[in-house]
Order: sequence, then C-alpha cells, then structure tokens
Amino acid sequence: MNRVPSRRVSMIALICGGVATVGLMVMVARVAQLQLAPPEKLVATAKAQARVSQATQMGLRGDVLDRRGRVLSSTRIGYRVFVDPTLFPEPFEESVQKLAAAAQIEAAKIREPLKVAREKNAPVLVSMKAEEEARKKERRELTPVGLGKMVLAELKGDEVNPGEGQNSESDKPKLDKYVPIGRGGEVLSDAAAEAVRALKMKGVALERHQVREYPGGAEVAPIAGLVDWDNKGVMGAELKLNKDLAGKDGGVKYVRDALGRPLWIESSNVREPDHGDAVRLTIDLEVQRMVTEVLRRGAEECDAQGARCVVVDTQTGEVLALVDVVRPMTGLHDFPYEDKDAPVGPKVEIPERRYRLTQVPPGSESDAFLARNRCVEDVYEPGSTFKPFVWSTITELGLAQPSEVFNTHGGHWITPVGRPIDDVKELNKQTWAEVLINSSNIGMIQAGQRLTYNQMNEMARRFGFGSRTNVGLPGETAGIVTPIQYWTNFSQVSVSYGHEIAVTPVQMARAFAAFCRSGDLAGTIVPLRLTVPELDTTGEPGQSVVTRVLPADVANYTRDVMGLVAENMEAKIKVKPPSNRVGAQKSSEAADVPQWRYSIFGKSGTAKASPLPPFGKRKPKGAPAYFQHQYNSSFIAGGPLENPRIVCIVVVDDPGPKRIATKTHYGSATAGPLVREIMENTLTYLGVPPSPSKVETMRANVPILNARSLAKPSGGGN
Amino acid sequence: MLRSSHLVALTAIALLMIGVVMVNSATMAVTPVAADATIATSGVSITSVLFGRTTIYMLIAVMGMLICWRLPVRELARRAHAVSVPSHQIQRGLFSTEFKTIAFAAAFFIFLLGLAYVPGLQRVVNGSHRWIQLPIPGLGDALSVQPSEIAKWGMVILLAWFATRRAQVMHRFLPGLLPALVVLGLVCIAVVAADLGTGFLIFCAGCILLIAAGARIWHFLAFIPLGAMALLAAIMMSPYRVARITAFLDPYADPKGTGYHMIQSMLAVMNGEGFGRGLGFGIQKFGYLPEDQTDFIFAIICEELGIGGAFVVASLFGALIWFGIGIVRREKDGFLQLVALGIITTIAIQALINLAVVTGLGPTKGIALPLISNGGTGWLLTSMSLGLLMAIDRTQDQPLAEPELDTRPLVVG
Repeated sequence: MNRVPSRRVSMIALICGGVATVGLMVMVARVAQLQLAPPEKLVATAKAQARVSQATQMGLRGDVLDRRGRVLSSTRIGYRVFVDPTLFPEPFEESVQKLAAAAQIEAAKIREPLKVAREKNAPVLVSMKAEEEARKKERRELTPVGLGKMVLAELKGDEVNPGEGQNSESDKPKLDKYVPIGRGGEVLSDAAAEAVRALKMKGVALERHQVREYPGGAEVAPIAGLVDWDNKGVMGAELKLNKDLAGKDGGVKYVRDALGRPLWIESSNVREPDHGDAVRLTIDLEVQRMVTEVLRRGAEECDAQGARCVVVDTQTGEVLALVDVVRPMTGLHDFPYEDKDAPVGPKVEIPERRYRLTQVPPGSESDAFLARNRCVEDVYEPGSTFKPFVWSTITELGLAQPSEVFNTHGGHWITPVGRPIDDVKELNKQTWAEVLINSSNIGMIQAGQRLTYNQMNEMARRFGFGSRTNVGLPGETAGIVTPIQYWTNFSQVSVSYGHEIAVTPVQMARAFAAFCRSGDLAGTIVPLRLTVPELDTTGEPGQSVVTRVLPADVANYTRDVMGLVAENMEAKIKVKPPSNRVGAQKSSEAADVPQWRYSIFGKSGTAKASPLPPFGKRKPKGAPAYFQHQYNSSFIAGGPLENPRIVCIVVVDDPGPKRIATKTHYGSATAGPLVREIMENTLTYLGVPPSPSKVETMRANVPILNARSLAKPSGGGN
Repeated sequence: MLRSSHLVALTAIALLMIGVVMVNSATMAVTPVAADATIATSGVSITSVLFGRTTIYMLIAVMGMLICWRLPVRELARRAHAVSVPSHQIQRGLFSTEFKTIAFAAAFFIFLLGLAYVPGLQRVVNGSHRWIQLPIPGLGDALSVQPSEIAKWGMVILLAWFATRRAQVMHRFLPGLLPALVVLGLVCIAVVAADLGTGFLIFCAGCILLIAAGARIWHFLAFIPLGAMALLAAIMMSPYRVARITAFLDPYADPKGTGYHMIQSMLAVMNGEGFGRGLGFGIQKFGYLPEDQTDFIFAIICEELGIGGAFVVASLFGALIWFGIGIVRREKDGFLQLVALGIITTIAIQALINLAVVTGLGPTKGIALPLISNGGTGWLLTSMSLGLLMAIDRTQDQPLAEPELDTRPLVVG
C-alpha cells in the first residue's frame, strides 16, 4: 500500500485553506476600504488627474437689425492660427515662411510673437531637462550601493527625500504652449484656413473665432457701432446693448481616454451655449440711406461744413434715422483752443476767419465707425427753432392771445437789457400769431418779458432741454440750460428767441414731438428709443410713459400756425416735385404750381455758431462768444399736418460765405428744403396716405395783419 | 450526485466566464471611425464577445479541463511508479533514480525557459523574455506559450512525485529535502530571470508541498537567510525591481514613473465607489491603467462591478480552494494527494498575490489572476490542472491498484 502521512497533508491543506480564506477576506475588505473610504492621498491624486475634458460651444453674439429686420451687424465663424512654439518645426525661419505663405499673413507677424515665446520658454526647457536628468540619476542610485547609501543616510538622520521635486509643481514656470497669431483681426479667409490645415505643420492649429461683420455699411456705422477682438461692444449700439447682444459660451464636459479622445458625457455636464439676442434697432436702413444722401447733397449745395438730421416716429418715439454728415473741406482754420491745464495766457487776438466747427476724430474719414454722433454729442444754439416752445407756453398761460397785436418797431429795437435787435421781416405791427410765422425776435422778447424767470426756465426743462434723451447711444450730452439761480433778464431775453441755450438735434426732435402727436396725445412728449420695444405678455408693444408739456388744444393751434411757416418755406424752394397730391386739380393753372404730397408744419432757425472746445481743451482768453460769420441753420418740421407721424430736424453747420452774401444762409433756405425732401420721401416710404388738398379753414383760424406774412397761396382751391 | 469535481468545474467555468466578460470590457477602446473624427466606439458587442478570441480560448480551456478530467490518473500514477520506496531501498547520491529523474525534468524546464531568449522563438513583451512564440506564419501570437507556466505546473507534479518516492526519508535533510530543494531552487532562479512573481509563486507552492510531504519546518527555517539573500540578489540585479519595491513603499513619490501602475490600479478600484460604475463603464481601462486585461483585470472588476463584484470573485476563489481541499482530504493515494494540494496552493497563492498587488497591498509583480486574466496559456494550463484535480476526485471510489514497486530507472538508464 502506498501510504504517505495523509493526516499531515490534510492538516497542511486545512491551514492553507484557512490562510487563503483570511487572505481573500482581507482583499475584499481592502477593496471596500478603497471604494468607501479611500486614503486622502489617493483622492487628491484622483482629483489632480481628472478624466474629464471640456469642449466649449460658442455662444454667438446676437445680430443688430434695423427696424425691418435688415442685418446691420452679424457674426460669422472665422479661423485664427495659433502655434505651440515647443512643437514648431525647425528650421525656424523656413517654417515661419511656409506658414506665412499658407495663412497669407506677413511673416513678421508670425515670427515676432513666436520669438518672444521661444525666448521665454528656453530657460524653462533647460530646467526641465535638468530635472529629468536628476530623476534619472536618482533612479540609477537605486542600485544596491545607492540603496545602501540611502539606508545609511536614513540611519544617520540626513534628510533624503527623493520625491522633493514634485512638491513645488505649481511654483514652476510653465511653458508657453499657446501663441495666437495676429490678435486684432487676423482672421483667415476660408481658403487660407484650408491651406494651413493642409500644411499639417506640427504645433500649428486653428481655433474658431467669432468675426463681426457689418453689412449695414457706413451709413449706420456710428449707430450700430463696433466690437473689439473679444466681441465686446466698444461703440454705438454694440456698446450700449452689449448685455443683450453678448452670447455666453456653453460647454460639454466629457470623459476622455488617456489620449484625450472623448468617451462619453456624464449626466448633467452639458451647458447649452447662450446665444446673444438679436436686437432690432428702430433705425430704418433705407430712411437712413436716403437721409444721408439728401444731407450730403444739401451740405454740398450750401458749401456747409456738415449737416445733421434726426427723424423720429412721434407715435412711439422711435428714431428712424440719425445722420451726421461731415463734409471733407479744405481751407478751414482750426480755432486756437488751449489745453485745459495750461496757465491762463494773455488775451489773444482772434482773427475773423472761417473756423472748423466739426470735431473730426482722426481716422474717421476713412473709417465711419470712428465718426462722432454729433446728433447726440454736439450742442448748438437752436435760435428761432426754439420759438414754438416759448410761443406755445405764453399762449397756454394766456399771457398773449393769437390776435393780440405787438409793436415790432419796424424790425429794429433795443431790448430791455440794452442790446439792439433786428427782425428779418421789417414790420411795424404783427399779431402774436404773426410773431411766430415771421419769426419776429422783437415780438418774442416783448412777450417773453411777461413770463417769470421761473416760468421760462421751467418751460425749457419741461420740454426736456438740459437733460439727456437717453436714446441709447454712448457719449450723449445733456445740453445747457442756465440754472435758475444764475438766470437774469439777459437769460430771459436771449432764451425768448432761442439763444443762451444749448441743445442737441435729438433733444429738439423729442421736444417738437409735442406738436406732432394727434388727439389727446397732442402736447405730450414721448421718450426716444433706438431699439424696437419688446412685445409684452399680451403681444402688444410695451407702452412708453408720455409726459404732458402742453394742453392738446394749444399744441394743435401752434401746429396750425407753424403750417404757415412751412408754406412760406416751401414757397422759396425753386425745384418742386411733380404734383401727386390726392384731389389736386389737374388744371392748367395748377400744372405750373406743382404740389407736395404731404403738408407739413415747422420752424426755421438760424443762430451764430459758438466755439465748442473739444475734450480737454478750453477757449483762450479773449475768445468771442460767437463766430462772426458762421451759423447753425436749422429747420424742424412735423408732418403730415393733418395727422402728424414723424418729426424731422436738419441742422446745416456753417453754410458757406456765398450763401451769407446772398442772404440765403437762413434755416428756411438751407435746411428747409432738405427737411421738405426728407419728409416727403420718408412719409411716402412709410406708406402714409397723402395729405388732402389744403383748405383755407386753417388760415382762417390764424389772425393775420400783414399780407407779407403769407406766401402766395400755392394752388388748392383759389 | 454532485461531486466535488463537478463543483470545481462549475466554479472554474464561472471564473472563466467572468474573465471572458471582463477581458472584453477591458478591451474596449476608442477607435477612430473616420479620418479626422474620433468618437468612442465600443467595438464590443454580443457577437464580438461570443465569437471573439477570448471565448475560443475559454472553450479550449474548458475542453482541456474535460480531457484532463477523463484521464486515468491512477493508472498514470502507477505507471510513473509514484509509490513510496522503502527506506532501505532508497538509492543515495547524484545518480539515484529519483534525483536523476527530477534533475532531467528540471533541465527540460530550464531549457524551455531558455528558449524564450532564442531569436526567432522569443517574444519580448515590455523587455522581459516570458514568451515562446512558435514561428508559424499566419498565426501571429496566437500560438505563444509561457514556459514559466509549464514549469509552474510541471514542478508541482515533479515535486509530488519525488516526495512520494522518498516519503520515508523526507524528514531527513540530505536524502529527503535537499535534492528537491536544489532542483526547485534552480528552476525558480531560471524563472525569476524573466518573471519574479511566478518564480516566487513556484517556490512558495513547492515549499508548502514539501512540508506537506513530510519535510521538517526547521530545515526550511535554516534556508531562510539563503532564500532571502537570493531574493535580494534577484531584486538588486535589475534596477526596475528596486524601483517597484520603492514604489510600493511610497508610490506617490514618483506618480508618473515607478508609482504609476500602483496608483492607477488603486484609482481604478476607488472609482467603483461601492456599487461600481457599471459593466463597461470603467474609465481606467481607456489607456490609464496598463495591463488592464491581464495582471490588473481585478482593478477593472472592482471599478465596474464594485465591492459586490470583488466579493463574488473572491468567493469563487474561496469555494474553488475549499472544494479542492475536500478532494485533497479524501484522497488516499499519497502522490495524487500531493498533486492535488500543489494545484490548489498554486492557484490560491497566485490569486492572493495578484489581489494584493491590485489593491496596493503588495509590490507590483506582474502575476496574473488565475482563470480571469487574459491569457490562453494561463487559462488552458490552469484549467487542465483543475481537470487533473477533478480526475483525482472522479477516481477516488475506484479500488486502489495493487502497488508495484519498481526501482528501475524511469527515464534514463
């Protein structure tokens, strides 16, 4: 029999089984420990080595649209090159040239930033190499002898820490591995991007970038504005509406493999990109373009330095057009402004010359984005265009009746403050209505004396002067209304005919809307707006808060009187449009007196221009308050007369000396025809029904003394 | 009636199937689907698992197990004269039958191990010569074997045979323990040259087998200094082993170098967070944890199946060990009893070492988890040895053959 000590084998087997069982239990316990209560160091390592990457999804910037949805500014995706200088292939110069050729970028623009980065990286690379060497050496020292030495050192108590190098990971200077080529607009064309991709050069890659395009063109450039490289608005609506327009990048966090390739997305790790809202401006690209054209022509005809125009929808306060034309001119003199900080010098003799009125920022002639919005940024004295506000207030207070006759002293008078003043129309007697129609300074000053200082000052503020319209363009000025504590009789006299007050075209348009609103709303003004109002929950556009400045009947009456002003202005226009007025008589008589499609009402104004020191400058000592032969000629009008829809103001800056010599530099002769044309075109474009034939009832309402106050009736009945 | 052998077979097949599933899960990788687009494609489906290489390996392994199960082990043992030689008949010296036999067999194992260094046959993986690849064109690495695996199981049978033959003198040092230990030591050194873990495993299993056969424990204790020195020498001969040891002591000192394996393995285990990330949803297998299909498969099991998965695997191993021990205890034939014990201890030690390494309780050694880690040779040979165990159980009821003592030299004259 084959008998080995089988009890011994059984025993050993049992012991082995017991030990193995305990061992397996220890292993399971260890797994449980690692999974449920992992050691801190391991957790830290897991955190440091997150297996998660993020893919960014661009939040696109919203479009800027005009009121009819035409795109003014939009965003497309472009590509930009960036280079990892540590991988960029040698020889350096050859690679630079190759990349430059493919990307169609100047070689210097690639070479310079790369050189900087390489110089920065060089010491880091050296130290990294040294570190690697040290680590290798350390590993070599882990031979028996090295190990023995280490043990000995340990026993002696010397500090030997092989892992020392790892502790200061964060303090180490990092390699610059990302060098974008061409900050500031170096976005590749599609062909160039394709060429760079085809190069397959090491360390060269493309990144997506949002590129802003401006299909709106130069006409709306100063309004739509501009964004910087990072797609942040820096000018115009882009700046003001940046919050709405800006998109917010979204992203997806995904688990990646060791090579960085995406595996899957963990739940709740998707953040949708937040695309910016499209913003609709109230500007109508077509009206804007038409107005620009008219102003350019008008400025040319008047030999003016520039012209400004604002067109506002009076129902809603929406700005339809806001145009600033600066005519490139030679032969103008720069006014000798002084630096604000310079010591006050002796009195300077300022020669009488034609000075430059418009401040032209450098570069704006070639780049429309850089132009100033003089419609909101630059003030002028409104002159007679201000009279309707004074006239209607005096009428409202009952301090003058339209039929009251004023002695206008044949057009020459000494004001209560001792200044001589002239009227353009030299009449002895005029009714209060005629004072406005003929724009009599003398009549206005006399009536103005009936107001208290407070009433006059409050009137100006009530109509919104001295405060910003907040229309939504950066850089807007509030204008100047003399504060009540400094108000003197000089102020009282000057403001009566629109001097000693500085306004902007947008303020004028807002105030004049009081006469351009129908029914109960007549006499109210509405805040201007540059963006189309959001629809509220009922689907209706949100209502603006309107401010009553006049009773409706006074506003309507003033409007009727101003209808005669417009008629007078129209009578002076040489070129007239073919008649297409509804109901116009096609008689032979009417044929040579062609008519306008829409009746309008308005007021002209001409005021001497005064020096406006640019930012950081001041007027020198002894500088005159006004330029001697330079004017701001303006015309403000509403229409159509029977049911006003829009208000339009044109300011012609400094009509040329020839106009002054022929006495045709006045607002009614320079800005008037432009307003007339703009009104006609805009109202037609908006589809406003033409005005009915003019009836005499309106004239019958207005008490007239002098036949000279009225233009020759231009057709329509008798 | 359900016998221990059936239970062993069921447990082994369960472990093999876990192996197939987990190896396939670990094989998952990101495959580029188009030239410039990379998305994660599993590449693993029911069909790819069912008809994949791993399944074929598993079927081969199961077949090997069944074949070994049917082997007439008792007849073979009789033919091998695996009987205790009466002490007065035991030959002495280097030319005794027993010593010549085991020396010849050991030389054969060492020769096989040496083949792994022969150009044309060798297949070098990660700088170590562990594989012999039969240069048959068109098969690739499908027909490659690990000679250390053969040596591992071969040594079990060899030592069991020797110990049985010299059962009467095993308690004595010179005629009993020393020859066995010399042969074991030589083979282990040959294995250690390429594979420290397996060498250590063979040595441990061999020692347990010899002790069970009757060797005195204090004889072994006398060898401890020598063995320790040998181990130290082996460690010091190649710097990477030193690195592994130091990495075990403080893996965070060089987390991107020597400590990498261990930290990544522990991170994988940690990722399970109790319930596991779900089958197939492990992260570490995507290039972070090297050798995720072989030595570190248990980390992936922990990551994807959680503590439950780890518990199931450990329980199956425990069950396998205890079913095996049952067979050992019932066995009356000394030789077969020692063979069975050797098989069980080898599997148990290997599993324990692997689990210890994966869970960061032991230094990284490069030793596979039996029946689970991907590897055709490993699966086949482990299954076959379990088949032998089952064969021993199957034939336990048969009447014992009349012992036949033959002192003629077995192999060489």
